[in-house]
Amino acid sequence: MKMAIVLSILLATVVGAVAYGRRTRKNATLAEWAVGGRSLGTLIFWFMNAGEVYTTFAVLGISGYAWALGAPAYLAFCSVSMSYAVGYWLMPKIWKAGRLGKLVTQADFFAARFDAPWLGVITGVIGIASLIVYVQIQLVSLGLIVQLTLDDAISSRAATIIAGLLMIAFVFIAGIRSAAFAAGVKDVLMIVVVVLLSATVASKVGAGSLLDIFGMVEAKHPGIGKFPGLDASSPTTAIWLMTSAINIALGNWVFPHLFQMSYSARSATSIRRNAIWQPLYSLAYFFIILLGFAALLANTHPPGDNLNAALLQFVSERYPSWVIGLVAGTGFLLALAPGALLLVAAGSIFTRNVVRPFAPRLSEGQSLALSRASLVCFAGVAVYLSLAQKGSLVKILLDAYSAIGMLAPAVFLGFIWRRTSATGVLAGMLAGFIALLAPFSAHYWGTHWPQWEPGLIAMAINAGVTILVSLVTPAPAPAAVGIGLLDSAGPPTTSRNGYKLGA
Amino acid sequence: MDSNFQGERSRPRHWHRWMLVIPFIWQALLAPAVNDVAVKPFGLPFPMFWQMAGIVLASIVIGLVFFMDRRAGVEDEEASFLEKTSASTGDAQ
Repeated sequence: MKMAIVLSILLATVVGAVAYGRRTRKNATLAEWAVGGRSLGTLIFWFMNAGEVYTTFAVLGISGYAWALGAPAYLAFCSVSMSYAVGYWLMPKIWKAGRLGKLVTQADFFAARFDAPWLGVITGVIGIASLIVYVQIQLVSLGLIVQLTLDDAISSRAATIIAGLLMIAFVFIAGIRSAAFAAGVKDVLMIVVVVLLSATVASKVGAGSLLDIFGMVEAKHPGIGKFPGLDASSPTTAIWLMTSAINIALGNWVFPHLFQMSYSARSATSIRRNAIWQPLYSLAYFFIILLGFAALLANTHPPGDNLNAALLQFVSERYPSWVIGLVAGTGFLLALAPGALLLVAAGSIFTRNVVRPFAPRLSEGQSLALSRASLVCFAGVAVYLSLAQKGSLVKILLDAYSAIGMLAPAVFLGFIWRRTSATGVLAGMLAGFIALLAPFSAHYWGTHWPQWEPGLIAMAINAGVTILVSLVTPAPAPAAVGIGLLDSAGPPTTSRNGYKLGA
Repeated sequence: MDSNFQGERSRPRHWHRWMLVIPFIWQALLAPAVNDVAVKPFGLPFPMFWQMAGIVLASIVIGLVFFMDRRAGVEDEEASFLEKTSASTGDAQ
């Protein structure tokens, strides 16, 4: 029963996705594959956003945090609304830069805005690295769902490897449009799953109503509803929430796949209109936290006390097999659709920004082949890293944001300050990575500011150094600056309607 | 050509975009201040209720900024930008 439901969900979605992709695909160029031909309509764009926002992190990571810690799970409530408050302002700028410079990848932006192809190579590598960290979230989750489907018949090691193979297979049968379709199917199924589980959860744990669950969990574990949560000695205080949430909001649109998603929008107006509604969608995290608390009340103990598996363990203990099948089938799409988009983004950046500067005569066909081969390698690296991964999905997510946060100062400054120079950006990134990764600095933050998100501290240092070095180095050429600052691009030769910089 | 050739460099009409900082104040900066409030609206822990209210506020704020942007002519600007760049970008697809 369970297996049949999982397989039918997967098959129906893949067939539908491929048919949808075929019907709408015009020609198989790298640009088409990566940005969907720059013509995605509002509806598809919205589904793509939702597919990006409602990842396995939210469903498994946040429920696990609620189960293990309590209040720190509220981080999910900050992540979307604050990101879109930034995105409302930032995403249209990225979209405009994309059209002006005919940009395909995020690294294209750095190369064009700072007039430095070498910066495109470096930022391309950093972008790929952070995408690989991010893909781990999907792989670890997918591995758990594979185990749930197979009744723990295989080891978590084997499950993670299978998860990697599934993800690669999905990318090759799909592509960006098909992944968007799968994300749409997943959104609908996710709502069904959440409504189904939430409607029945109160009776499963002996509560009179949904809201009683919160009273019961606070009676049983006093202090769980406020920071730092269940464990009074945990560093997850309100300061942790503040700094982590700000770090997420500032880093979110800097992720290469989300940066490039802004290019593929139809218009800046559709991006801004979309930003109005996205935060409201994140209220649905209420149910995820509710289910995490319910799992705690039900004395759920996932194998090895793996907090990422708390929700799945709870469902498999307390629900009939058809519900488990529905949850598992939805879980596959939940991890596969965003995972596919992440890998496609990594592959296209590698080809276009890391290899092409050294091999400019690469044909379109060779580029596509290289892009596909490289994403298989990146998936392999992510599988390798995931095998050693014991931490919470929330921790992996925060690590990914710390890494991509090193590109954030350059993006923001690139749009607001003409003088930001390539040398300044490089110096800022170097200082930021030292502050983030060097053992002495990591130790220092851990001892003196244990509640502060280290990524945000490193981002501040990065921004400071970028500004200082930019002040003493020459600004990029006016045409390059115009990619970012088209509104106030002031060189007398650039007339207001002279948007012809991308030639 | 569009009508507002006064130049986009003078941008006092975009001051309202600073409202986008409100969700940061509500959800991040005030989080420590509301952590110990004991009131339980709808039976929810107050810090949780606070964050959910912050989400609704964020949508309202972004919606408000969207309409103020419309009044400031941002949509027309974006449309004319789209038209200007379509000639060079659109036909390549």
